Amino acid sequence: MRLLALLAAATALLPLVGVVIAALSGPGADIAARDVARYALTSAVLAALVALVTAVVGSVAAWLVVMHRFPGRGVFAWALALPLAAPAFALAYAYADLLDVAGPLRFWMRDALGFDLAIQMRSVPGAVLVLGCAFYPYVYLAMRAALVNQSVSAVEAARMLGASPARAVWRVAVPLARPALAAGVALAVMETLADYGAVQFLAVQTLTTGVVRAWSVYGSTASAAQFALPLMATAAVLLWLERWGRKGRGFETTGARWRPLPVTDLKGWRAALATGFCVLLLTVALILPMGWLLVSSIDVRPEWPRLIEAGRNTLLMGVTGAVVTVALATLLALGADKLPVTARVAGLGYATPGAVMAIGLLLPAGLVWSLIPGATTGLGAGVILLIYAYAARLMAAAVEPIEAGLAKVTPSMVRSARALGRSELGAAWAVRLPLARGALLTAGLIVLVDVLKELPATLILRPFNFDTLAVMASNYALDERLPQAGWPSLIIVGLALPGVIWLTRRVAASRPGSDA
Amino acid sequence: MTGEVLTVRGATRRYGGRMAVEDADLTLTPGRITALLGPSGCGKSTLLRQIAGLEPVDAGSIHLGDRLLSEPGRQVAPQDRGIGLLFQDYALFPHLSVLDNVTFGLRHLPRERRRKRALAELDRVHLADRAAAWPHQLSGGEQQRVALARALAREPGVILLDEPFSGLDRHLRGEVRDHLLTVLRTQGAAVLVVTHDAEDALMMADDLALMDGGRILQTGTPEACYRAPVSAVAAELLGEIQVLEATVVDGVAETAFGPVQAHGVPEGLASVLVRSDQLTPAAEGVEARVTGVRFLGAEHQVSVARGAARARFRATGSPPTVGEVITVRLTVGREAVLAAKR
Amino acid sequence: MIRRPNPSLFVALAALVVAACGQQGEATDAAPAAGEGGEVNLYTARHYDADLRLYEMFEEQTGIRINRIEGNADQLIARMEAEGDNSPADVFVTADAGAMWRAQNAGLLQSTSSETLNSRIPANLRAPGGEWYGFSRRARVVAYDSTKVQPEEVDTYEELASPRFRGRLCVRSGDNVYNLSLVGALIEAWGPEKTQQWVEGVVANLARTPEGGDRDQIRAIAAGVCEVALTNSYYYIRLANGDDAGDREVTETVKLAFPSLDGQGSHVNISGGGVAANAPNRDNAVRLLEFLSSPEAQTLVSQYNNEFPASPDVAAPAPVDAYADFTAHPMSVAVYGQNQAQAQSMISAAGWR
Repeated sequence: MRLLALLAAATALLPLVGVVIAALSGPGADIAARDVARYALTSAVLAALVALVTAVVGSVAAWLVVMHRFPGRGVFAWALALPLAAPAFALAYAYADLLDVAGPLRFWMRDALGFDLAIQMRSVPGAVLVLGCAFYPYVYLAMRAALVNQSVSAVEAARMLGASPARAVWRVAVPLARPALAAGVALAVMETLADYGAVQFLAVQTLTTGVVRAWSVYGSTASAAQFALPLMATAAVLLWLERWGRKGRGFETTGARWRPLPVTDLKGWRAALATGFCVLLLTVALILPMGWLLVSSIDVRPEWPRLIEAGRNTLLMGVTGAVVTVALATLLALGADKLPVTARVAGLGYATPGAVMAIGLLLPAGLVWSLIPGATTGLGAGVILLIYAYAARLMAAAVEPIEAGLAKVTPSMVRSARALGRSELGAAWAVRLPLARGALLTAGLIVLVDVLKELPATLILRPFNFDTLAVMASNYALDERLPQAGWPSLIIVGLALPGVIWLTRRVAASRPGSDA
Repeated sequence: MTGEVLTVRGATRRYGGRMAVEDADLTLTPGRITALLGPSGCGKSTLLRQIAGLEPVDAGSIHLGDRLLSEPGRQVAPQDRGIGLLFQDYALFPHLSVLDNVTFGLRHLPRERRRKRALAELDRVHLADRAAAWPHQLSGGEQQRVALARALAREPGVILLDEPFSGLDRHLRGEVRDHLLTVLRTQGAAVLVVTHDAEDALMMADDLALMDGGRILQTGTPEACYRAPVSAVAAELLGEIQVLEATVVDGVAETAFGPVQAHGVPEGLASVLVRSDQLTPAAEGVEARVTGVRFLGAEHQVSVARGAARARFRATGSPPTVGEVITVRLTVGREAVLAAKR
Repeated sequence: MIRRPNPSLFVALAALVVAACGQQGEATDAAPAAGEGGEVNLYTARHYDADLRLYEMFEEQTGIRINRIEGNADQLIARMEAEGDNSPADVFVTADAGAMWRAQNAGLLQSTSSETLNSRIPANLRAPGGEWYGFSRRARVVAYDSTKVQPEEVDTYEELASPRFRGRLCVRSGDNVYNLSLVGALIEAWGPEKTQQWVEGVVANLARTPEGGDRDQIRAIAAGVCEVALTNSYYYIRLANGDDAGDREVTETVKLAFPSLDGQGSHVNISGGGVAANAPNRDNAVRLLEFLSSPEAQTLVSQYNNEFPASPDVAAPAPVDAYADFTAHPMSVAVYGQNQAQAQSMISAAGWR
């Protein structure tokens, strides 16, 4: 077991080792310290603002939906997570086009209303809008799970001790949900740091820009990798923070009886406000940008043969990538109690910018390519390499839910399986995995949705004649042909939607004793 | 201490089509401890939550003195009722220290007084030295005492305890119970203890209420409820009971083990509820054959048969032997005879 | 509720893997078998639809199947380096002379002594040693608001840095390859000192922090944000002849000027390709390059992508012909790459984001 877990961890770590080796391999390019400081500052500001936006928006949305009854609540409960299906780069395309100074909205405003909003989409605030929309669902889902599973009696106890409902929420419910908030925000920030497509398109110069510039202008993978090291360090801190969030000081309530959550009925303007908030959020994060992509693509005849082939490739990679990643992540999670540090470090790939990961992935890929002569040309080998890349990059996203699922299996259950004659592996197979089945599916879907949107690793490692939808969208967007980029982006959303919907339903059903 | 009586009149709570609490009457008197005893799922916790203000009443009312606390469509918020509640899982706030847990409810006091008050309260439950600890560092019994201190610190006129001993080890219970009783008695509040354990209820209660299927079956002193149950179900709640079939003729219920005074009971079939100490060997009585003897430590449980009828009793001293014929007598009175329902 | 351990899930997952692999195998089998001419492996940083049509034409004409990987030029270079001697790459194609130079510099290209190529492609549009050839040209020129700016005011590159356009210039970000190659060319023509001053002048003239692509700069002129902008020629031509009525309207006021560098012509960049150092299908690779240099291929690229043909003999088709009579600077495009790092340092130092 320990060996298998180590193997899985090594899989995930190899690209990171590759980055470190690349960083040490040569002198850095002559990049002015001033620029580096500026990139780092932009990255930090962007991450902080996205953290703030996602924390507020995600928490408020979760709090409204879980604790209140208002028109549309049933739909919003799952619909508010749907922006997870939309790639950040697609949001960036849509908003940059929609809100450009020469875009339709502002032309119309100048003509019809006689004034102009000074909105700069290609700016840090613009990137915050796009990334906030794309990543708030992480906070929303985490907070919703926490609120759904909260200990009602803690809030009731506060009420019995004289606290008003507002004070009970502020002093008790909010602090108790803090770990979930930290976990959700950590995910959002890691995604922000790892983002490549959106910030690149919005010309926000983050450390990722530094990586790309070092690589493409100075041709120095070494200095590109050096840029990556602080990012990886940040990722490590965030992962640790997220762990802290989960474990906490025994925050898990034990032995509580579960009763239905007390849900407040909202009436009149409060209900309108709640519904309005959810509608606005959904509009800004999904309907408006995706609608605009659809509108601007509608005149373009989609190239169905290419789209279908790319769609098939995308789906194939998504499903296979999910299965392999979940399998590896499961090994890692099963061994996590014995190898806690290894399991943590293996998650670093998640927060490493795609452009950096691409550098790191070339190390194991280069090994394969130079050792196996046919590997560079064969479609099979190429696909395997790509799936490996997904596994390495998305391991953390899969390990987390699986670990949480395995935690529900008490040691005594495993011990009784051992006492009934099962080996350690056998017990895992017969008891721990079946009980964590839901968590495995959740992990698989998270990976699937992420793979559908994945860009940098796919770009550099894919085999011949192998397009995915994200690659097609990116190619068109780089060529400034947004209408053409719309179709593949929209198909990605379409493919990811069912998975996201299923994921959100699971959260709702996760309360012990819930019938759903 | 307000010293006011809390009165529940016809309290009802429906969940969909199911009646969780139906037409419940209950009175809590200052300085007295009332135990609400019933099996799990009988609605006793729901009734407690209605009193606390955490559940509305669908019918009926709850008053504290003259003040209306609950009626359908209207209720005073939990924080404004002046009622303390000790939760079954204690519901300590895991993110606050022990001291901060206790001061949580003392917002109306200035900071320094708050602290003093909380420490005094912790001292009363012998936990002043753990004030700086976190809840998860405490044992189950200590957690309960913190929760008690937290609830009592506000000096509520009514204190509700939801299954206070369910989380504790058997051997701890007696000690904790005695301590709890002492603390509650000094408080002088009206106390309601909700429990499914007959021994806990009998040990603590000044007044007892028996509940099953959402209804209050019987209220009264523990003694009265024990000796004069209103039904087999009510009787069963307080301990093992034997039901003997009887026929009432001329104010006397004839059972297989002898007659019982049944003045005023309608003629015809009836049941006689007999506890195991209410059938005893005696010089005078009816003859029964011993069918089994079990050693129970201080006493023996003896099973006897008379024709098709069977009964058990507890015998002290040297037990009879199996197969022996002995003379037994019923020591129950009129209150144990229930007319058969039609 | 604890469910009975159910292996079906795992069986299902395993089945998916098997199915996926199976499908993969089929895909390989089902792919059109390499024609009688064999195959050629293309690493390309171009991703235009016109290219796909070109590949189809090549396959039809020669029976050689093209396998392609598209990607960012530098990632493709990194991949070729990682693949090392085993690299299957036959042909490397990019849309920037600087990237071609970097691939050559990394030892990833070999020289081709094809008479056809040498005769078709002018010497300044290919590597001196024949490591790569340019097949189409794009000029980096000026779009201007014809209601506020006279064409004479933008007929040299120097004028973009003059105080005349203080706060009136739009340009995309400084690390874009097209800007880097332009500045690289200026360094070659003017030397570092004057170029540095020019870069600083451009930064001083910026109407806004650089954002968006070239097309966005043109549209920004129409929106009144600025009066002049640097753009690649084909973006403008595409706007002027596109499907979008709003875009066509933009080009009614915004016009295109071809400034001259030292009186010798406008700065041009190339899309080009070269044969990979370890090309397993070297002959096919040369045939592909020769095909790309053919008049019909150049015409097709020009038609679909609105670039200018590289050969002086190939007439530009509509709608590009309307713009094709400009003078291109005869400087060798090979120098752009050599000067790019220096260009980037100047651009960074001047604060051109």
